[in-house]
Amino acid sequence: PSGEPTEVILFGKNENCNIVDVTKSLHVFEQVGVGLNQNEVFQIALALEKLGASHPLEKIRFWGKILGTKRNYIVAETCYIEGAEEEEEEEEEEIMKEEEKQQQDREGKSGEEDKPPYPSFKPPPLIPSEDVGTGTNKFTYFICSKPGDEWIRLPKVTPLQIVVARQIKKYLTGHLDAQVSSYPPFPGNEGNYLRAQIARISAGTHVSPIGYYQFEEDEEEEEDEEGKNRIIENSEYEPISLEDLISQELSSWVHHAQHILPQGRCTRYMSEKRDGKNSEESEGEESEELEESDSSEREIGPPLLTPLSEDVALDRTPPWTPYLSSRLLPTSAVAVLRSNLWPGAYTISDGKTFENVYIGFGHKYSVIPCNPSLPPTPQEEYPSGPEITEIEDPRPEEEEELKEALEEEQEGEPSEEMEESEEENEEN
Amino acid sequence: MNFVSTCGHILSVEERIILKNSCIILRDENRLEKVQLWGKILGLTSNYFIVQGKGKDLLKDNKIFYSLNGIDWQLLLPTSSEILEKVPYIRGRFTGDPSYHQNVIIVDWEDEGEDKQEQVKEEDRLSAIVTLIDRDTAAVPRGAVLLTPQGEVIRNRSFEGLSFSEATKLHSYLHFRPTSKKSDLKHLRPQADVDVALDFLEPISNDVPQGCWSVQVEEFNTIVLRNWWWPGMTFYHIPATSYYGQLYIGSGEPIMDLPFML
Repeated sequence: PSGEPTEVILFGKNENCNIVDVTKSLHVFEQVGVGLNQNEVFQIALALEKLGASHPLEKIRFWGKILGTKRNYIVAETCYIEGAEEEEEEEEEEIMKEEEKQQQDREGKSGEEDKPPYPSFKPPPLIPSEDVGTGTNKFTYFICSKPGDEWIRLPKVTPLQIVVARQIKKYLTGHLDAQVSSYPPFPGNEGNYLRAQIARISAGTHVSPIGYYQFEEDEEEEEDEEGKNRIIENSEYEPISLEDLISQELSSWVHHAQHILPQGRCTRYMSEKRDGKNSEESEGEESEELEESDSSEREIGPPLLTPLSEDVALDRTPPWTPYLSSRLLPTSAVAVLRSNLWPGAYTISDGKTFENVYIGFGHKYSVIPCNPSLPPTPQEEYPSGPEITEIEDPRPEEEEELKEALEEEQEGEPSEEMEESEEENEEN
Repeated sequence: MNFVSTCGHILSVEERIILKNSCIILRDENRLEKVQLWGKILGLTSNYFIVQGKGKDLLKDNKIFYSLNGIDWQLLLPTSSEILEKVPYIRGRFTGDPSYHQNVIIVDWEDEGEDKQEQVKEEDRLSAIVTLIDRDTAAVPRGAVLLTPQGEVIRNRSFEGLSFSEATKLHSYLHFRPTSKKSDLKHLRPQADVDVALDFLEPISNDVPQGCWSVQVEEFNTIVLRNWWWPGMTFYHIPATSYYGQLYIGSGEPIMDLPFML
């Protein structure tokens, strides 16, 4: 069903905005056995229009749906028109600052009187998150729990969040500001966790037929890795036959999303400190960490547009299952690629175009049940010895006896020691 | 089918037509009262369709059939307790080949003896998993089935559906399984409307851990229940109508990490 007339009346149309037609693409998914019912699809299409009308966005795509225990998330993947995002961010920041100011004003007078003692421990420097438009923050994601609700923009993802999200496994509740109680502690609320999972799913499952994308032409001028991060649609793309697409070798599919490195970023972040003087800062634990990062420095993920045939299988589970959508009508069928690492992620292609969608619970598949890592062992206590063990204070009689004994001993040779011992006794 | 489609998996038109026709054939061939779709288990190479045939007694006269293509059906034999014991040790997805033998390493927790290695046929595993899912998640709204004086469980023809406020509460849904112990029913709500004919099943609200079921109100007041031990299990009920049902579409593996995840 096409709802264009209604959309125009309701929201007005954003001419610059390119919205991927969700009704059409989900209709194809329906043939495959993946998707949502038609009512919901139509509502989502309307909601995406609304999003396009209210924000300066260049491109909107239905990313998928994540099921939560109390509510669900509908996720839209968007690209801001250049520069527009910063303006919006600034506005938000201003609002935030004002709110903070107000809070400070309220707390102001009472707050500064007694500050708790601040620990002298300095945390290792944080790895900065990637800029908007690159790597894990290439797209901005909007979510809403029901089509028609207000779209909420998810914050940028930080590398630390991705690193921790890899170690935990939680059901989402459906409330963005819900606490994520886990070990290791997750830095942020559920919104951040959702964003980290979205980044991981996108990196793992966004695939396209080979040749659909190509590297940008002027990449040769720039230096190796940096330039290879940009891809554009290949205008001379030749459709691939369905037989190739569903072959078990998977060599005709490539990743078009960047691999996330163990650091939690797509491109390796070089700490500036390491360039010159690291003598002062690299003391104790920090130096170890720096050494570690040094050793993993050359760790570079697979480059963009790597064929899926190089994906690693997870304990006998092949990472992808390709199949054809229809046995009876192979001529009108489409090729389907089901991810086994991220259950719920599907890609379809009829050879000419392709579409990715994720509808699931937001968890990576694991054969072994997750073992939450144990808390670190407590720090060792100061070794107990005679100098710190408590002993009973001597009674006055005993003190007297000791004094006399000492005096007798040192009558012949009076020295400083005696004075000291006397002083000690007085203290006792 | 439309009602559970919010979970993300639906049947394609082709599958729907095939299943509808083959269910009728299956019902007539096996002289069953009713054959309904139970679910779909996603394997690595192919998927299992599973249908449940019901006889006169809804609880006891059950036959389960499976099929890889939706046309040729095989009877799934009831599982044995021996296999039920082994199934929790099996790791990994279903392959989609019923004759595939999977190695199971049975860890001996108590005697610290050597771990035994055995083989389980995938068909047996399928049967066991279906039994387990049924045991854990099969549900009915309270009042939808009746216990007759003869001890038969039949559909309650005068069931008019739960009211909306009742339907959003977990205790108005009952486990559709034979109650194992009489004591399980002791915790019945001390309410005036307890009826021996209706309240012969355990409510699902007592399942552990708390929160392993979730209730959501989807569009048009459809109540959707999800079980988080078995993600993929979706139950729906439309308040004030006698429509209810459930469907499992998933990988056939329980989430063992649930206590950490809620």
